[in-house]
Amino acid sequence: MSVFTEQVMNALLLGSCYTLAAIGYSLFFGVIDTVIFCVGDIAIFGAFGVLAFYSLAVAGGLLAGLPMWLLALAVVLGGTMLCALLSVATHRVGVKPFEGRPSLMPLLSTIALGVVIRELIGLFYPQGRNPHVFPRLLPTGAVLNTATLSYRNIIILGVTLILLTLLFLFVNRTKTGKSMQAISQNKEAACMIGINPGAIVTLTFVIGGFLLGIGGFLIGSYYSIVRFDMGALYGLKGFSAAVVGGLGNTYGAIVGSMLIAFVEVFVSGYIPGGTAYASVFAFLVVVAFMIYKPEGILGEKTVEKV
Amino acid sequence: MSRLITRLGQKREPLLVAAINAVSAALIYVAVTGRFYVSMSAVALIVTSLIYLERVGLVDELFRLYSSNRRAALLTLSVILFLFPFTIRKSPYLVHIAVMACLYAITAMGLNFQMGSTDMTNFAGGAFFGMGAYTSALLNMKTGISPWLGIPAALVMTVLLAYLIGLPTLRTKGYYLSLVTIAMQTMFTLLIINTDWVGGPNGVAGITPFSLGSYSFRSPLWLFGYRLPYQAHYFYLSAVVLLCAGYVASRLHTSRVGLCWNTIGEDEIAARCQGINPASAKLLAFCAGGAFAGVAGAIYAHYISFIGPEDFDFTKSLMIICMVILGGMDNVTGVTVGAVLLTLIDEKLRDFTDYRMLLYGVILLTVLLLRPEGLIPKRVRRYELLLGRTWRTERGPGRHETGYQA
Amino acid sequence: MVASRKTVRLTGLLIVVALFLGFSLTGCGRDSAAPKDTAPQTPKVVKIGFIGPLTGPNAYQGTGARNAFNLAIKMANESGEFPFKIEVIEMDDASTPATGVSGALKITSDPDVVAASGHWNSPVAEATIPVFKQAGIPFIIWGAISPTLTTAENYPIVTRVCPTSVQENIPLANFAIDQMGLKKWVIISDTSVYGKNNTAAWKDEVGKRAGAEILSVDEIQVGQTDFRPILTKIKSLNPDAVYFGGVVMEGALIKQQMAELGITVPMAAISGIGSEKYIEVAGANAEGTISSKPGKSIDKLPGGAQFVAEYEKAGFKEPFGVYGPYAYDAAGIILAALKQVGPDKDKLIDAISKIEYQGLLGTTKFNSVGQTTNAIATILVVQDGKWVPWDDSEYATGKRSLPK
Repeated sequence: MSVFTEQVMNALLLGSCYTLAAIGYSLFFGVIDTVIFCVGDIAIFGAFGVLAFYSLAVAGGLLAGLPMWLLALAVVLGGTMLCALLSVATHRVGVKPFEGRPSLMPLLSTIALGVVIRELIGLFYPQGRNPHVFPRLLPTGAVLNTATLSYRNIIILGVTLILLTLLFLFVNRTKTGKSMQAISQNKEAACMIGINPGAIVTLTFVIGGFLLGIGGFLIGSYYSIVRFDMGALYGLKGFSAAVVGGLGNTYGAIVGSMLIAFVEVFVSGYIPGGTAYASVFAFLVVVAFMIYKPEGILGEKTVEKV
Repeated sequence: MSRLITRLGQKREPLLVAAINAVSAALIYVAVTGRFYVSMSAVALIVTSLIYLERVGLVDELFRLYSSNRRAALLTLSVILFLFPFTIRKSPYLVHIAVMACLYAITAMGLNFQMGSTDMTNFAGGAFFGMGAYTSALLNMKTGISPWLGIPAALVMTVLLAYLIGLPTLRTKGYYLSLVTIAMQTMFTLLIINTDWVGGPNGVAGITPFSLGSYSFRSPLWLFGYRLPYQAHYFYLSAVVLLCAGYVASRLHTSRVGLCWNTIGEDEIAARCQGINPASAKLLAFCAGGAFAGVAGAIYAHYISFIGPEDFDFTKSLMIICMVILGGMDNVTGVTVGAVLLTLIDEKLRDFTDYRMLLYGVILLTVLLLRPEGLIPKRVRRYELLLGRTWRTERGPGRHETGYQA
Repeated sequence: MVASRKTVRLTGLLIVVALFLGFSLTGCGRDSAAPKDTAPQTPKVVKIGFIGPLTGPNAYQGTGARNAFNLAIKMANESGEFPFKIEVIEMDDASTPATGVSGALKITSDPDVVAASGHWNSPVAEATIPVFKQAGIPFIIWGAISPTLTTAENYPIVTRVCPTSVQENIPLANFAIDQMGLKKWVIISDTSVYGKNNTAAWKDEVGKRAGAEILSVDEIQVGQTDFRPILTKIKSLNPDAVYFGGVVMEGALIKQQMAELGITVPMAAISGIGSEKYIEVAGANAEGTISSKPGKSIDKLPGGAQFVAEYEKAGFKEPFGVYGPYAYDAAGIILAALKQVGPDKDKLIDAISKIEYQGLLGTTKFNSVGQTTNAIATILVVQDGKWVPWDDSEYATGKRSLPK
């Protein structure tokens, strides 16, 4: 493979890692009109959950005897479930008390929650401040003798695609999914036709938590380590991607993630000494969008009603 | 309390102000000097009494009392600030805390223009502070300009940066604005790290301290036969700047500009209908805030004598935001109290190094959940119509109140 | 009526405040009066400051060093060789200069403190050195490697037990460039002071040697986890070897991602990556990584095995890491000087700067600017998941060879 196609592959992989976080932001924003800033930390919490279950399984022989793929499935499921719980808790503690308050408050409270989650992992996970080797649950072998096209990378891309398709089907084809859309469009009207907003919002957070948990797992597998403070930057990149793509728009989140990932990879790969500036360029893109197209690539232009 | 004041009579009002000042100073003294538990209970006492006073409606009375006895309040405050280093002269560390509290209070007052008055969340407060510090430090190191000239230079450069960061805000608001400022803050740190000319990750070391002629601020200060640690110079300097900043900030708050900011924060479209130009008012909020942070940053650089990119990162921005929220948005006194308390808590929590960031997050969360308006919430402005003197005696007639509150 | 209730409430509040003030002020008075009573000639407690990154991104460097430092002090207290108890004041600098300065001020404000040791981050050391100089407290750096810290102006108060970036890179260059004949290098360094100093030092070493050249220099952020874009680019340059100027985590990830992308050339780095953690993270891909380490390897020193055993016995949560032995020796030097001259700051400064100390790292002596002259290095290589001294490895005997 030429250097160029390899770089494209790198960008696609990085982009799909960002996508899950960006979708998380968009999903939450769509339903409750609030930015949950600790999305990255929730995802990393999920990764630590997977790590913890795996360590327990290995140390305690809890799941011994299971074939590798089943073990992997079990620990990932366990981790993502923890993540879904945390996500619902985040809503209860950090968002619900601020309904009807200035938008600044849930933003700050979720930033604070992010700090709390991060520090709790750092303090109470054994040796939490040190980076941890992430279990290699995905097969590593290479396809067609090209290093970049390993099974792991294909699985990462594939899982992201499948999740996105499932989410799309869920939101557009099922009754519950349509209720979610109804709430995001007009909460009062949705209540009037018999939708229970509380239940739908909780469900959204459960689904978001699952997605983020898998996101955390994929990141852990892709980078092969997790560290307690990784969530901050991951969340920031995901938020940038969601905003560049158009906050609240699922396709926008994907497009935005890919844009940010491509900018970062190509700046590092083709500008001499550019690696150090990769994040600067990514944020420049964000600022440029904010100035010239604040609604994002696929977002709807909002006209303020008087 | 109003009856109490009446009973005390006008002449004793200044005494009351002085007494309240003294008690507050004593509380802060205990909070600064005490061991961890003593200090924390002092902080807790300050917090609970502020909440209590607010609940029984005494804070309004206090504000009225202070505004009608400005001279007495200012005089006792100055005396207290002057005497403060003497009481803690044994420990340079405690004076250092006091200096930092002043500098953070100035910066937080600046941020308050954007966050409190205009409701624009600015996550680039650390960058403003850093811009001031770097400008003055680099001017001093590269050209040998006196630190005293560095302060206005830092002011100008920070205002320019604030203008630049403020520009995108004209088109964005809410979350988008937060994202822009977060992005700007992150870029500021990254650019400093990657630019060798400004010292890169090495930072700038050996910055000249302030001096008057040949008298360096880095030598111990002898006053009335007492030897004060060298930090005392910086305490007096930053306290004077803090008083000036407080004056400017409260004048801005009561002026038309402050009202414009509030109106924009409430409802931008309504503000535009009133004939306010939101663009220039928002930019002014950014520039004024930048000026405050720039001056504080310049003093900081020459005080610490070393600055590095880590000092001005996102964590610092978050800390300044916490100060504004804890103290009370859009209230100069509140913001100052918030800055002092948070600096204190931050320093005292050093004994629990590992738990510092956690407690920090918990504090922010608790304040937002339990008291989102801050310890001293924003107040209704009172405009006295010409008859500033009359109302004291007549109480009621002759006084016009213009209420404006969220 | 309302007003009088207010008056009552206000009075109540005032009483509470007054009571609190009364208690705490008298309490404080007693506290501050207490130390004055004890005569200064025979102090019962002597304090030593330790400062380093105990929280934040470099916490794992600081906590290991702190543990080793505490271990040395604990052993000294238990040995009964000192007529006073030695206490350590631990301060966190969180890798930020501002936090470091207030920590240093807190240390120097304590009249019982006679010496201090600190810092892994050079910028933080840069910021706190004036504080220690002002207070006249001898300060030994255990982990910061910027060459500008030990200078004539800072001598003799500031000394350093760990080598500078320049000192560390010389033996590695002698080995990798001259002995192994690796000529075409790419440099990857992090943007920290550590990384930048290493880049500069390595460029210098390569520049001195005819035929050797640098193909590219890339800078990465500390905490970055995805290096595939630069490595893809590097692959197309076909270097002989990769020089990494950074620390464990990024180094291990780079090595691992190199293998993933099919880059098989060896990677060389100084002691920043020399930890078990590196092998744990990089896994099997760590094989063949070259690193240099000051002093002889720990099991070859008389105290080494004992140190490891004691460290394990003390039951610390964190491993001692790369800088544990330096902090241990820094403590040892302070203790040796204390034994010589007693708890007197000025005498300690003099004693420390003239010391010739036999410790974990070998013989530590300070040159005319307070820098350790102990720059003997061991070249290590990863073989079967262990750091093995090159001379003992199968690579040296020709049984294995480094990939080209």
